[in-house]
Amino acid sequence: MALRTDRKNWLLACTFLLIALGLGLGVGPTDHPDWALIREFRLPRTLLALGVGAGLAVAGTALQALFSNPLCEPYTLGISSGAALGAVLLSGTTFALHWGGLAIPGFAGALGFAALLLGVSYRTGSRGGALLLSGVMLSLVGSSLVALWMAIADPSGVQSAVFWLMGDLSRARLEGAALTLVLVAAVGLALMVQSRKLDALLLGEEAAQSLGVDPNSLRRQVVFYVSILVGACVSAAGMIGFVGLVVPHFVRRFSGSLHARLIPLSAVWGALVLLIADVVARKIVAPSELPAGVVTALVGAPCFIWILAGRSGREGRAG
Amino acid sequence: MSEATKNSRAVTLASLQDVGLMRGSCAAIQGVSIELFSGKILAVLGPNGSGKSSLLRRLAGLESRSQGLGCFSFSGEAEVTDLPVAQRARRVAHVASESAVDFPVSVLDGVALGAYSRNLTSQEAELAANRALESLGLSSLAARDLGTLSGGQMQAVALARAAVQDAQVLLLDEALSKMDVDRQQEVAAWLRNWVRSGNRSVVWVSHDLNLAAAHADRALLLHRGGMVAEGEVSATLTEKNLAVLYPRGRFELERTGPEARPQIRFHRD
Repeated sequence: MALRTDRKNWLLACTFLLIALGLGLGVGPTDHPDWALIREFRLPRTLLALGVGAGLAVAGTALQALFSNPLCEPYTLGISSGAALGAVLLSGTTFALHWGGLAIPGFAGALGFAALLLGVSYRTGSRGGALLLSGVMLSLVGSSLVALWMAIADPSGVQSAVFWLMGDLSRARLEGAALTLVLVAAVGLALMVQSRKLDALLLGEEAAQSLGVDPNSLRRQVVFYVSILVGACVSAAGMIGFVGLVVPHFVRRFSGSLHARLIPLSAVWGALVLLIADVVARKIVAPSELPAGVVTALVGAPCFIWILAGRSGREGRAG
Repeated sequence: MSEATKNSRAVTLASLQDVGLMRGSCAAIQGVSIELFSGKILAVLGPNGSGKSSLLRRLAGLESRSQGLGCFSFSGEAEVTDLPVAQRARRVAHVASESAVDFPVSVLDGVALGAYSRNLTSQEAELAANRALESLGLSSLAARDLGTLSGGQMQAVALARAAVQDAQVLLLDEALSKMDVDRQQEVAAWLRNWVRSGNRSVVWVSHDLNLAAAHADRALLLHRGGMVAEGEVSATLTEKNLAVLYPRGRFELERTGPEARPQIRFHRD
């Protein structure tokens, strides 16, 4: 029975992915584009949306298991803003000449912020609100430093700060998109190898330890992997929020929480959700465009509150 | 053959030598030297704060090595806390009060997670989980979400997970406390059956003196972080020993059956 449900889930995800791909390549300022236009602009943008969407969804899935908290994701925990800060600090240097170079400072920034959060979680515990609030504060600090640095580096820099802070796929280049996809696929597979350990962590840290999982070593590995994902995604497309929150939450509803199923399905749904969000962002205020992060935030933030309210309600009743 | 003769042939599975646990600079429990026998249930009894849970956490390897005192080891092996986490999970399983799971996990999947330290395929783990649920009469819950269970059901599911883990020593911290009386008897009988069907041992922390007296083989009495007595249930649960544990109470014991298991009535003056 599980197999049949799996097949149905995959069929559904792939159908939607194909539709999203059609929209991603077909929708834009001109409705009758030539092949050159598609190859030059829409193909890289579509591929980047797939890579970043998948990467953020997988990162969100892993962070939620890591902290046993369904409200965790790279954006709300400030890990994205760490990555943006890392990338921005080096964007004026020779790194900027080669796009791929920004993924490394992005990774370093994400790793720094994620390690800080891990430290906080040891003191406050991870299930309650303290970790999330610390993440929001980290996010504010990171974003403010990004804006500050952009203003110092270049008087008109505040404009391009919007790229980092709101997330934007319009600068996509084919090599960059390809690199993001490759990194996301590799790290996604590495996380799937750990899927049974992540499953055990859902029961809580001590229960996992009693079952034979070393939670500390697992946490370090997951933080490392998530930082690679977030570094790659943010340095290519800026900070796009809530994909990592909403997608795993939605996919769990029909796939359950076991990570061998959840991680690949979240990747596909994340990819297609961000692609559709970007198509909406291209069209909604035509002839100009919105950053994709604006669309994901407008949909995602209410979802965050909805999940939070449901959780507090349950805790209230239990206590 | 009487139960007493069988007891005398018990095989030692693991031993505790002067085991204890520091909490900061004072000892929450110390000086526990006993043996865990194959096929036996050891009840750990004592008032609040006597160190029962601390002892269990020490044995489960959940406390840092630097806080642990003495040595808890299986024959021919190193201290359990020093074993690699995966190997430790083959030796001891710890069932504590379950905390809520924030994600949708079915009971069957949650129980199958117990197989983590065993080299089972996911089908084998699922089969083991189904068997464990069936043996505890929980098959009807298999498809339910863990988050929808009652406290007692959650405890029974945690026991099923421990059965799938199939470690040699099962450490139970108040693991039957939220079940109704009928279910407690049923699960305690399951536990007796389970411990005798393999090379296993159970250490069972409980506040229910009569439940422990009816189902445990041996008892360890703790008071203020120290050992008061340890031995056969019938020899250990005496008015004198219980008066040490609960000095403000008065006990009446009635011994029944061939094993002279005591029935305990407690009066508060």
